[in-house]
Amino acid sequence: MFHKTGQILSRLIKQWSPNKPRPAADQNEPLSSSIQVNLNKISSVFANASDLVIRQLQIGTREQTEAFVVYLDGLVEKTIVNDNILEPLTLELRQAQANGGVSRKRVLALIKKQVLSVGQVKEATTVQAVIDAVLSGETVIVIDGSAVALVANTRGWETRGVQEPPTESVVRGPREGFTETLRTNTALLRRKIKNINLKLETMKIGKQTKTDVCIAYLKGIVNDKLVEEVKRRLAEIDTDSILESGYIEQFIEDAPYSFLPTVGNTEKPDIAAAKLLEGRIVILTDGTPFALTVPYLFMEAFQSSEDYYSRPFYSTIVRWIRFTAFFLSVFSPAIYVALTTFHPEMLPPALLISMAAAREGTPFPAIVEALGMGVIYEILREAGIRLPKPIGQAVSIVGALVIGESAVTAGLIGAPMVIVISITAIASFVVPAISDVTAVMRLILTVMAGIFGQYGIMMAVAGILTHMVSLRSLGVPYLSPLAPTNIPDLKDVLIRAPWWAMSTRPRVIGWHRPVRQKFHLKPEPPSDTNRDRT
Amino acid sequence: MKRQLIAIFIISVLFATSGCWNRRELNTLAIIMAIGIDKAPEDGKIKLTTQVLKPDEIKAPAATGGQGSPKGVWVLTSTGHTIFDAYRNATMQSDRKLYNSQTKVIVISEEMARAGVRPILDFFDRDHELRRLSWLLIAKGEAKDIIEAEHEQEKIPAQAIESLVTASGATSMAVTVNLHEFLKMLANKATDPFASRIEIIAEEETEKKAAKKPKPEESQQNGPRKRMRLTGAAVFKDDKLAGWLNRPETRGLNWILGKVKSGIIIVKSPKDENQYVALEIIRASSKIIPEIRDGQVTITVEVEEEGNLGEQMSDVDLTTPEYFDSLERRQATVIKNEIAAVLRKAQKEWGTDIFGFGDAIHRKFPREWKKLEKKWDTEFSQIEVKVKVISTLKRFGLHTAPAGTKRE
Amino acid sequence: MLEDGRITDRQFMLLIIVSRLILSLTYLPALNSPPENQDVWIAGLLSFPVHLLLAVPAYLLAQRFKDRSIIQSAELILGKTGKIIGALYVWFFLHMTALTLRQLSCYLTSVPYPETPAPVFIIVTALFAALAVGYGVETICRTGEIMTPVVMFSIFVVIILIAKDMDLKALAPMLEKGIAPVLHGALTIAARTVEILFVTMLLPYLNQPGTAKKAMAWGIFFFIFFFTIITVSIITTFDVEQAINRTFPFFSTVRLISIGEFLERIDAVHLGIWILGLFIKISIYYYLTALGAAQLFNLQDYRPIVLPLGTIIVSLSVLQAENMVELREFTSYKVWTWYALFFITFLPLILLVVAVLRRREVQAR
Repeated sequence: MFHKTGQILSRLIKQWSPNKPRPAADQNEPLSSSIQVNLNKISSVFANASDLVIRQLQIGTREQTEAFVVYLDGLVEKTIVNDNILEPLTLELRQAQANGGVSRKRVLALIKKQVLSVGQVKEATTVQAVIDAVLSGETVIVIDGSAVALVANTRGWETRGVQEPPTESVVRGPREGFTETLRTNTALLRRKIKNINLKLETMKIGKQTKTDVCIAYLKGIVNDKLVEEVKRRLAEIDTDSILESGYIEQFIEDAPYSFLPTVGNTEKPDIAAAKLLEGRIVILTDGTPFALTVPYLFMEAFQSSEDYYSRPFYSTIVRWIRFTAFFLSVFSPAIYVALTTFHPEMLPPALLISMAAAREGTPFPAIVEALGMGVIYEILREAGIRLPKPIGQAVSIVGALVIGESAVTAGLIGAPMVIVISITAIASFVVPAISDVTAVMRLILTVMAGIFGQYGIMMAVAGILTHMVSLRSLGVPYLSPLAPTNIPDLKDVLIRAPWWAMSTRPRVIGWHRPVRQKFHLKPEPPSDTNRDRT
Repeated sequence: MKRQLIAIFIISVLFATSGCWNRRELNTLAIIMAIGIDKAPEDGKIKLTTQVLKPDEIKAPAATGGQGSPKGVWVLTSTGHTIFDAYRNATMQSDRKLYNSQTKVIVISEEMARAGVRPILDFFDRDHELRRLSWLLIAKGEAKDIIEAEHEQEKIPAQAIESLVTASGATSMAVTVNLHEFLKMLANKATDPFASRIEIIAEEETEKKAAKKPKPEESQQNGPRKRMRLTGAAVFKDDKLAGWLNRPETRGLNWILGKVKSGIIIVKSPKDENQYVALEIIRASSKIIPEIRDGQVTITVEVEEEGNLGEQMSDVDLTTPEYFDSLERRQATVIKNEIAAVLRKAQKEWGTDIFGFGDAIHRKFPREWKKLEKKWDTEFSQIEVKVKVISTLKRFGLHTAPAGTKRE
Repeated sequence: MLEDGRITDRQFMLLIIVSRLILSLTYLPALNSPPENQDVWIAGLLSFPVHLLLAVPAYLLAQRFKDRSIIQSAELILGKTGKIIGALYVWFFLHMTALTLRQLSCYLTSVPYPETPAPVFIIVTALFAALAVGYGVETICRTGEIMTPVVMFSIFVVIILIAKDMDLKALAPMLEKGIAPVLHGALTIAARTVEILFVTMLLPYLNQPGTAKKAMAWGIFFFIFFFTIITVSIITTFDVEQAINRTFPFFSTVRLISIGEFLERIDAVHLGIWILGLFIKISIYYYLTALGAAQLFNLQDYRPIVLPLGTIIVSLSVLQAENMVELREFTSYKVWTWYALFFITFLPLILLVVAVLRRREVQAR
């Protein structure tokens, strides 16, 4: 019902609002052949833009032609502009003309073909095209008498280099991470997958920001319908600004009312490449190192890139550690509350005695303790993240002292509660990708445990579970391969099978060409005859 | 979906505000560790003695003073027409609700047991808080004294009693019966139940008594400190206490049931009849084989035992084949005697089938059992029980003979 | 179509298992049915062919009308009279939902929550079930697909942990009362498998309808396997005399687990798994009620009637029995067997015979 009204509303809004904001000058008009008109137009459009550089020149010796070069300072590589555009225009053109003599009409082609030593040169015929080119860091050369401007790709601005990302750090594996520059990011991907099938389709989203968004996929492996669907959803975004991929995520996700993410993100090109190779689609956004991946399944949160780089035995154990940590972090406060307030008979005798001793004389009921401590923990965590690093540490020390020591000794809360919350907190760091999800689940479970005890926990689990299985990410069931069960796919969920055994891609995603490699790739020792000779 | 969520939310809020029915914080509970059941002085009433945990005392570190450390429990006595009634009446004295699920030990006084335990035990199997794993003990004398008794090592006497029960396997001279096993035996029409027996001994007497064989215990001494001892067994006829088994008889019972875990068998040294040899029981098992021939019921009890030479006091090297053989024979004789003792008492004196002979017949000869069932009470005393003991000695420890033993 | 979800044969099988098995983890009326002694497990094993026999009419009917539920096909076969039969089935599913809810609340108020009013549990569970019903059959089946292996695994764990207390001698003597009561027991066990009716309602949503026969047979087989080990574990730990007195036999068995000093009191885990399994059972019957009612009244969507039906279910659940004695009496073999058999086998058989006589086949859509 809400869905339908939403559609109607958005259609109405679309009809009423003008498609594009219209500034004073009609920007779709073609360039004039008079340089003065063009110059005036451009400088009026860019009025008050102090970073705009308009360099007026006279080129050629015999027939001096008026020209100007326009670019935005800071968005261009200065050396390219100087060495490869300005210098050739002023010096080499003169020599060329001295040698042969060029008519005014052919000067444009000459410049484009002989003079400019820049990798990519396009032509622009409208004012709008010129503006867009300048805004995206290209240098535009406008020559008197020509209604066509030359656009030289001189993009180059101050960027952060490729660094090790602070999230998703690994012991073994590539350390490079995506940067804020789209081109660098696509290059990082391209370097991992040297294949013509790696398609990188770019579109601009955001009426104001005009952010470049790049859809990357591996043709032949990806389900083409998914690509179409992603493109459709991206095309429907009609918003002012895309500052981070999180904006896009919220516009394209399947379940906007759900607390569960149906779009994944990563900061590392090797992870993005792995997702591409499984048949997923990666959406790169200019201006952020976080790439989105769809379809995103719940089980991906338990997979780390390092699982695949280290040997399978420990990886499998670690995966189960993550499951355990997830359950601990979701359930432990709820179970503690349920056990101490509803089902003390379930506690082993020795544990009950020590717990009863610890609870003796504490003023608050267990549920209040659990919720209060949970809130305090979240406050401490937030404070630790936002503050500069040295102060952040101080916060955690103070927090640990205040909560761990004083509160217990003052008899405000029981020591077991502190232990429970600490376990919860540490466990939730083990699965960082869904730490927000665990926090919500924990809250629901704790409240239900406070009302109904064990029954409440189980009803909350039933509610959350049915909600989770009902979700889909781009048509792929969210909890697959658990439900619906796909036994071959469990090789990368419940265990991490060795690489030689992972012959098929996840079927739910790369369903139409699932075979990744030959079967029977298990390494064998050389046969006996060989061994005898060596 | 959203509407449903809102509905759920509203209802949750309603429940949260209207109070939580079963919520009970740990610090509002009086956790019972052990209970004792006696006959109240008033007519037909039951006196309930409960040992309630004092969490504060448990928490307090040893700093409060090593010797005179406070008791970890509080003993509460109440009366009522039924057990449940007595429980609730106890709440009038305690500021907290009595909480039953940790009860480890149920002690029933001799007097109550003689009157029959079936009415008493109904509550313990019906109530959801209690578990059938609590130990059932029959007190020689008043149950209240057992509950009030203290223990040197444990702050919580109930835990001490529990440990006594679990440790009794070291001698096999006591039986360990929990509520579950007792009720199973009580429910079985052929089998009569038995339970552990616990008694109070005065402290100063402990040393004197250690050497002697325990006489039937007199009465509880009103000394300042009481100690408890778990020994022997209480044997029931249906649900009424029939009598007590002493230590060898109890081990005889354990032999038949195959429940002997460990223990010491004392035999005379084959060389020197004045000296003792202690044989340690390593493992034992038993089989009860019923046979019916021409309407005559015979039960064969086969006991297999394996032991080690644990200690000897005679001045001789016993680790020769001849001596070992003779030790094995002596060992078998002791076992046979113990079994014979308990059989005599159970068959001839009380006529209680605590061994499950009737059950064994039922399982093997269901048709014949139909006839036997009704007259089993009388038949049981008449049946012939053959005892076969296969007892072996395996090892003799780290030396062969005591220091300075003369070689032969 | 009312429902556009699709379920797999594995989900169908697991749904049958969990729905039939889950109540046996607490209530086990089979212990109080003939033969009422240590031979109950034999009755369980023998009930496999009985199950299959009882399922034949329902299965053949469903196969004959592949795209229709029994409610729709009854109308096709008998016209107006078929509507009445359809209404009877809606009532039956409604009653199953209400009964299961009542059994849930009865257990909860008997053991862990004696002071809480029973309607609280009925209402809250019904609300959460309504949420699952709103999500559709796919979601319920997938939840079942995750939970059923957990239920089966937990039973295994319990059996392993209780093994040291089991005394297999308690199973002797076998067939003490002869074979006749055992066969009667097998019939009463099979008559409790209302899950046979799933095939008549859910076959149109199976993505491979041809596999339904196998899935049903395997589902019943697994149920009987677990039923047998459950009854064996109860009888061998408690002996017959005590076992038939238990209100919640398997729960009592779980409470006996004590390994070392630490691995005991695991009935909390058992309780949790039981609640989740029962939630699936309640959801699927609730769903069948809503779907059946929508089909009966030719509605476009079943979702709007989920909550109104919920109020009926909750009231019926509260009102159907004064107390636990009445509930026990109603679910005992004397009453329940005939009540259930009427719906499981008798009505489908009549429909099938009439359909064959009148040569009503599947009509092309």
